[in-house]
Amino acid sequence: MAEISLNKNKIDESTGEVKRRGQIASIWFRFRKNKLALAGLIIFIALIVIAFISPLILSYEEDIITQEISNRFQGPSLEHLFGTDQFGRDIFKRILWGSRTSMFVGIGVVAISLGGGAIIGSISGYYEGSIADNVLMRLCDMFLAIPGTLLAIALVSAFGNSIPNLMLALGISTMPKMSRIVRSSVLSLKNQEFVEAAISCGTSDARIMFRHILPNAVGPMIVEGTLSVARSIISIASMSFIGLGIQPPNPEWGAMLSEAKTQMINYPYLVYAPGFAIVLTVMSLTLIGDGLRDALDPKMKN
Amino acid sequence: MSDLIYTEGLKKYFKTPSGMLHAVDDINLRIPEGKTLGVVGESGCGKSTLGRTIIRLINATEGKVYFEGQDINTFDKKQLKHFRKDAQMIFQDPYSSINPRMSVAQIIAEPMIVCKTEKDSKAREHKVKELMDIVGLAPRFYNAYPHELDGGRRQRIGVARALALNPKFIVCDEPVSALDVSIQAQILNLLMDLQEERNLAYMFITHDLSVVKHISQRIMVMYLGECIEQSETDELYENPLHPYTKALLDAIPIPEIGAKKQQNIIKGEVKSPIDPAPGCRFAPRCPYAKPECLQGKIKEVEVSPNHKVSCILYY
Amino acid sequence: MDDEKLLDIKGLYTQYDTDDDVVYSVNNLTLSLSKGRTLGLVGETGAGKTTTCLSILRLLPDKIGKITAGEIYFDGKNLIELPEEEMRQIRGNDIAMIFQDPLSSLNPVYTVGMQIGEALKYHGIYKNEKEIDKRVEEMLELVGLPKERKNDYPHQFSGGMKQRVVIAMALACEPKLLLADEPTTALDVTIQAQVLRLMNDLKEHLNTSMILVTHDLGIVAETCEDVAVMYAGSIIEKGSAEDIFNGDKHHPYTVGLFASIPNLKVKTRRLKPIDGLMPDPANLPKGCTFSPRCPHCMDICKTEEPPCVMMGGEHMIKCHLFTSK
Repeated sequence: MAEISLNKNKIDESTGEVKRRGQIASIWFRFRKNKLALAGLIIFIALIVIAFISPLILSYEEDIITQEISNRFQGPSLEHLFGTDQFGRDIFKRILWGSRTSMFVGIGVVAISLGGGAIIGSISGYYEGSIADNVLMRLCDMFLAIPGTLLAIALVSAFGNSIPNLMLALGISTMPKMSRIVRSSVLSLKNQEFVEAAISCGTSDARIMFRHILPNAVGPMIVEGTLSVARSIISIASMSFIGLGIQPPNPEWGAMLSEAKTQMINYPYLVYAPGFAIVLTVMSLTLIGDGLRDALDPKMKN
Repeated sequence: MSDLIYTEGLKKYFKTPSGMLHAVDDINLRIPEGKTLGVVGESGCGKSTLGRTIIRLINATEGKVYFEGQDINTFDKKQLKHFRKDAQMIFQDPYSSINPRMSVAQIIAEPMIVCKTEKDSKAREHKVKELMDIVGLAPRFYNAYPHELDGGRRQRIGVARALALNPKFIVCDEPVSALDVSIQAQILNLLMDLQEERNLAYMFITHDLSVVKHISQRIMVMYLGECIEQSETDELYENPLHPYTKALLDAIPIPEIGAKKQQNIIKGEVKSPIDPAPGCRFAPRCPYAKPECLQGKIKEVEVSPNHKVSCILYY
Repeated sequence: MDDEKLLDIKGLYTQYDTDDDVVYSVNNLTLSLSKGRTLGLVGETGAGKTTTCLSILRLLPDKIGKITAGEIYFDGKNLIELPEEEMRQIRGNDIAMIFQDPLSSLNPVYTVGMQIGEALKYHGIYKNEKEIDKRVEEMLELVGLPKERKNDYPHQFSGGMKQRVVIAMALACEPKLLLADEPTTALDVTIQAQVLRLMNDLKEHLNTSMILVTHDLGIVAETCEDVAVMYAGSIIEKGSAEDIFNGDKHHPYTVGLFASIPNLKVKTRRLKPIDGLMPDPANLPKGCTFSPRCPHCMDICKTEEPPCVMMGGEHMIKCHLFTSK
């Protein structure tokens, strides 16, 4: 509606000032209206804070890996908020410590898949139909045909079990999807007149891709990114669960869940805490992702 | 007078699944320094493709485009980059033609960064402010983002960006058709003032015959990729020859009561430019069509000096 | 006034409540239309032309747009007070609307015949399928399309033909009032001429009243008997086409509008556009809404809303310049 869209031009003719609500501010304005997304953001920030301060208040040697057999299988109490595990370690402390690995690996995986996906997607999108596009996309198809977790398992088994390798493996397995998303945005953006305008002043292809096209494609990328942080945390958890991820005694939510499975029937509280932590993180990120998707779409404004 | 840019048998075909699309077919035109050539035609007649081919935004299929005596289709990378400074373009859609993620200052400075004409950032800032002043954008918009501005102001950004490299030739692709009449007049005045001050040559592409009459010295009428009539502006409006030109002129609504009583409205619609049949492409809609119209290529006839028409009625 | 008024809008106010502010789209609009006449509603983007049409049909976007004051009498009934059920019967049946973009007003998955028949079926004018089918064929021929094409899908038609289909849809129920919102803006000039002629012929043939919304004064001169010029949500000048095009007294905005169009007949080196921009409808200036751009602005214009001054006959100008007389 013309009348409504006019409203976007916030120019006050009388005072001659542009009422500033920059893009980021208006995205924040729309995001804030989604209460669930806001709740997700608050939870996520809290988790990040926990991840950062846990090494300050806890000692790895004393609180996390020291076994106290006399104290094993204590139910939740004031002293041990979530109880203790089969080695008598405090589960609450291990959850706090484990947030570091889960968050770090989760965000790292997404950084790898975003970076790689952006490069692959923009090259194959910009040179649509070229040999490079075909080769890259067929490679993506091949990777997409293999289930992500299976691919990651194969890669970790091949390159050895370590946190960087795990991140790389999960990053590579999510990269094809990211590449496809970037490619499709690039395809629709490269025919816009501002790209032609850039060509008409002799701008190089690389500059057109990274200065003109990619910044306009960040919307879908951010959304996919937040959602895939959640997915990678689950993947790490499941990798740890089958013994390929983080190795004991290092606490990691998925690994903790895996260790607890043998005692689950007798001591069910063992699975509650790590399970709840994973669900909370994934849920907060999913909510943020949903909220961002709406906030980044200007059409959702009204 | 020397011609800044001229073409010889310029063609641009596109391969489509259903055949060869003749977007631009055998165009010969010339634009002298500091003058405007208006290119008129209905949607799908290839006028935008012509504008893009003439500054090599897309490569021609056949034919030559001479700029200052050199064929631009033979330019290597370095020469092409140099040519880009001389030939610029102003786009139709003030919304999609500027990058929504860049500020006004960044958009106008971009060509200078890319072509390294102003390496010093202070000098660049100065130049950007000067350009904003020239096109009538208040300095307070320096850091504004496009979505904060209306269509007219956005189009001014487009003009400023085109001027940033001091070009000699600008292709204006329907620069005012997306704007309201009062804003349209402001932009037309701006373009005409700039032409006078800087001796710019324009190729002005439009479907609006009143606008094109106002701004150009010479007009070319296109139909399905071909030029069907070319003439000085006043001559074309006083003495249109081709039946299509006549029909076009008749079809413009004139804001006067009883300006014209009963005009001849041509029937039918524009046919597809994919694999066109030989002969005159307007023949299926032409009230004067004869069997000969569809036999072989129609020759261009120079009826009077500088007035050329492609129609068998004038053989 | 001997002829009956079909549509009579009195003091209409329509606004949109958006996230940040309230957009005053139509402000104190008074307008009437007699049977069988065509009114040209002229104005620039954001003047509130489309909103006026949507208000008449009560099709404003849910929750955002609402009519805050005024009366809209159609055939003696106040549309604003009508229950939604009755309003639904009036839409399409008594009042039809043609939208600017023929592409988006046709559903791509149904044949055009089905789409024209839809309204007939809904309003229950024709009972059996045969009758509807016959009427659909009649309508297609009326708008100059072969009746065999009723089984074709919208993508098989060109832009001008699609607009013909849309016109056939709008006229199928023989509405008393047709609201045409920039019906030819998306079309080429030669096609525009065909469609305008068609609409003119049909209007005479069916004796339909029409409000033609446009920004093109040329189209108005060719098709309309009455003209209303809209600016920032209200009518600033109205009268017969004769008054607007040939009269010597005009609202300064109308003068500016005429000076902005390049004239085919008169050679001018420079156009004389109106300075400045349309006011932000969320933040309208006090007094006369045109005052910040007006070359004849006086002190009173900045504080008081100008009255509607009758200039003789139907000619009305809403401007302080003419009050002293």
